[in-house]
Parts: sequence; structure tokens; C-alpha cells
Amino acid sequence: MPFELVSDFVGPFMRLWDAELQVSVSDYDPSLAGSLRRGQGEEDALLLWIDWRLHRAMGPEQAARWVIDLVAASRGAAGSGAPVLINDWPQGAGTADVSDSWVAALGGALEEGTRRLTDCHLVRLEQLRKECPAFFDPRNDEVAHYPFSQAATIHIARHLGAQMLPALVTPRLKVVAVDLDHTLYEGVLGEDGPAEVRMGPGHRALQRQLLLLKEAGFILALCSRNERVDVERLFAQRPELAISLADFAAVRVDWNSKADNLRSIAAQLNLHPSAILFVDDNPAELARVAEAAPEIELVLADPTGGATAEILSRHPGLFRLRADTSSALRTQDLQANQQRERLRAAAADPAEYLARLGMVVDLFENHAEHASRIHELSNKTNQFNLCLARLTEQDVARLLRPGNLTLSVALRDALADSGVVAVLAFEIARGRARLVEFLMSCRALGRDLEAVAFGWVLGRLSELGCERLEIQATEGPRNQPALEFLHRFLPNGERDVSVAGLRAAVGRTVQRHPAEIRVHR
Amino acid sequence: MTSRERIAALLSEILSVPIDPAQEYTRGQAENWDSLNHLRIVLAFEEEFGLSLRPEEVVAVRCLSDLERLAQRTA
Repeated sequence: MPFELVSDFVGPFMRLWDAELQVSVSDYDPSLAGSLRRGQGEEDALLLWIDWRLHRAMGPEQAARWVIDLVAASRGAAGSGAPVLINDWPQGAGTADVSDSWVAALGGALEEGTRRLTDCHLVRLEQLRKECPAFFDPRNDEVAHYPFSQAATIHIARHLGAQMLPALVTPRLKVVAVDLDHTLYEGVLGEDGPAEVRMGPGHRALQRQLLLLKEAGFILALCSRNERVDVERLFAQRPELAISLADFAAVRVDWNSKADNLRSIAAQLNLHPSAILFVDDNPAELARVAEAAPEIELVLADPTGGATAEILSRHPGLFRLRADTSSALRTQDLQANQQRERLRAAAADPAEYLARLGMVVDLFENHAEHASRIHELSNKTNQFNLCLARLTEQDVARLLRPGNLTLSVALRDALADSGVVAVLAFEIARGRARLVEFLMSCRALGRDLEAVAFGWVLGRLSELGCERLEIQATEGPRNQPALEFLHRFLPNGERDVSVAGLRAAVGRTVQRHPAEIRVHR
Repeated sequence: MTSRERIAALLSEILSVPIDPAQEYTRGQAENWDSLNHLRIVLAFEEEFGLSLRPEEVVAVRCLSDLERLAQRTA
């Protein structure tokens, strides 16, 4: 089945996020063996574009297992290779050659198989079919064995170019900040009042889309020029609002400039402003934000809400290939950060503040159940990220094997459970350790957790017989906090150091840290 | 621009060859007029003239003049 008709349209969608597409298409290769051999170079992704009708002689589970096993075998023992995308098959009249039940069973088996493989993702044509009327065109099938319509082709191209590929290759947006008036509803809250602003189907679709983004792991923020009391009344008095004030991890409702408020939201969330996408109906407001904070991404809201919901469902960077593993904890933890700030301000000194927090730090050594979370953190942590390794799922699997040391760090305190928020990973050989990943979620900054974990793991390296440590620090556009942390202990930029010496230096800074440490091996 | 000129321009862009609208141009003249580019030509033709071809018409297109005859439906 030719991919060229789809790839004709993928490039324009990729230009939405300033990326260029280069496609190399294999020969027609129903065995897939040659295609998988090609995928050992510098590709960002390898797509197995399969006409599953050709394999209908097999049972659906057998067909799925065949391709999953081929992908696994092609990666070999080292587990290397580009991420692989595999398409499922759409049900419907356009594919009369195979029954819907066969296609459904194939989809289930592929879903399961790709979930088990690292860096292997499903292009869900069945889901795209449901979103696109007239998905099939038998004329195209007759001429080129390509069963999809032009509309379907563009829909598939958009899914690849604006959703799957940016999620694979670029750091993602983390915050969706929204205005209120003429964005989340129609009307002006300060003039119409909470009871009189209007909500149509488009606004409800937008509110549901925001909740979907929150479930996918994005942080919601509110940024509006209004009176706080009116906004609280609005959320309390309008039951048709699908979203609640508690869904927003950061709220700025005042008369400050929106650019200042968005920067303040970024500071509260310990994020760089470029992690924010801001949605507002007022072009003049957007222009002011663009001028004052050009790193913030902007979306012009449709006052009826419907188009805004559609834009947010397709915006490059607002797509997750896999479900976020800690989204349920995130909003509550971020809201707790405001209480932590109040505690800090009220405390006599930093030691009293830390003591009041009642921190419990769980250290997990080579804990395979955390593989997905480690991969997720590695690919979205930008500020406290010393090595910027951007580990693939295969890298994570390798680092979790015996012989290497990977520490995943979970944190909770009296105010919230933060979940797994930090990772330190070392390759170990012949008495030498190499630090290949050291990162911490920005949510956990400000409590010396990085020093606590680093001090502990250096002790563990000593136990494992490592005398020297090579530190693979990388300077990136936003990881100054991590580099400054390292500079505290290695002011002369040393990158090959004595484990004992560094352990002593780090240990001095955290010897009085009140956190309770629990080790899980 | 006549329909024939518009079709010649469309064929020229997809097949990456210069095509003189005054001359006939057939599928046999272009090595790269394969099934994939045939689809591209038909889809671009439908878009250009606001037409939807029947399956037998899609398969039957062999040359510039075939497309010109089909385009006359919009006239």
C-alpha cells in the first residue's frame, strides 16, 4: 500500500512546528524484513505502513504477533533502532475483504503488542476512520491498492505530522493557560455577571477538551483580567461548566498584564515560559503577550468555543503517545506548591521549613515498574536535567538491567504526594561509573531533594566498588538549574571525579536534611 | 487559460516534465505515470475542476485529451 499519498501531506503539517520532513520509502516489501533493515540509521521514526488485508489468511492475533516479533528481532540484543510506528486497520464497508471482527481482533492484539515493546507506537487508523466521514475511496483501491479517500489521506497526514511526530521528537508543551471572557464562555463576566454569561455546545466541547488535556498530563492554568470573586461565583453557580476551578493548577485572575501573569505562572510551576500555550480571544492581548513574552505559544480563541476545542485537539505538542503516568498527582502537587511557599515565608529559616514539610523520600533501585515514568521524565524535563540524554524506552530498559544503577526517586510531604519525580542513572564498568541521566521534575525543586538523592546514590556507588565517576553533563537551552547544582560541588568544571570526594562534598550539604529516606531494592 | 492548458499544467507539475498543451500527451510517454501518480493526477484533476469521476472513468484515463473530455462536464 503506497505511503507516498500520505507523505505528500505530512510535510505541510510539520511546518506548523517548524520541522522539515524527509521521507525515505522502501520498495514494496510485504515481508517487512527489508524495511526493518533500513531502519537502523539516523531516522527519527520508522513507519511500518501495512495493508493488513494481505495478511488475512493468518488469524488476527497471529498477524499482530508476526509484526511485533519482527520489530523485536530487528532491534537485537542491544535494543537499538529508531522508534517504530505501526498502523492498525480501519473497519468498514471500504474494506470488505476482511471482516470487522478480524480487524477488531487485530487492533486489540497490535495495541497489546506495541505496548509491550519499547518505542513502538500504533497509528490508529480505526480511530481516525471514526473521526472522518467518507474514509474510503474504492477508485483509489482499484488503481493503486490504496483504499483511502483524499479526505482520509489528509486526516492521516495531520495525525502523523501534527500529533505523533512532534510527540516523538520534540519537548512538549506542558501548560495550557486560558482566558475566560469570550473563550471559556460567551460574554463578559464583569458586565453580564456569573448567571448571565452564555455557554453553548462549543464552550462545553472546549471545557471537555481541556479536561482531556489534563488527563493526558498537561497542566491547566487560568489567566484572566477579572475580579476573583466573580470567577469563584461563576464556577460555583454554573453547574453546566464541565470544568471546575480546582482543575487549574495555577490561577491568575487580576488586572495585571497577561504577559506578567503568564511569566508568574511559569515561575510558580518552576517551568520555562516556552512550556506555556496561551488561549485568548483578544488579538490585542495576544499581541501584547507576543511582544513581552515571545517564547509563549499563542492560540486565538473562537468566541463560540468549538474551533478552539478543535485547535487544541490538533495543536502540535498537545499529544501524548502514551497515557501520562502521574497526571492524577500533578495538579494537586502543583497547588500544594503555593502552600509550600507560604510555609517557607513563615519559617524562621530553611531548616525549619524543611522540617515542617515532613518529607518522605522513597529510593527505588533498578525498579522496572518505573520504566515508563523514567522515559516520560527524561523526555519532558528541561530545567533540572543535567545530561539531556532524552532516553528512549530501549535506553531505559538497558539502564534498568543488572550491572547498571538506575535510581527512581519518589517524594511525598505533608501537603501532597508528588510521585516519582527524579531519576539518576549510571552505567558501571570496572570500578568506574558514568552518570548518563540526572533529572528532577520542576515540581520538586526547592526542597534539596536533588542533593539528598545524589548524596545517597554516591554512597551506593561506593558500595558497588566504584571509585571514579564520569559525569556526562550537557549544556542545553534551559537546563541551567541542573548545571548550577553541579557547579556547587565541582566549581572548576571537573567531569571525571573521585566518588568518595564528591560524596563527602554533597553529604556536607544534606547531613542535617530532615527527610525520611526509604530504600527499595 | 483553457481547460486543456490547465490540465497540461497539472500533468506537468505531477510528472515533472514540460508538456505542450497543443500536443497530445499519453500515459506511455511518461515513465513515472504509474498507478501512484495516476491517483495524484485524478485527485488533482477532480480538485481543479470540482468533479468526481466514476470508477470506470478513473481507470480509463490514458491521456491529456481524455481528461479534457471529462473536464467538459463542467462547461
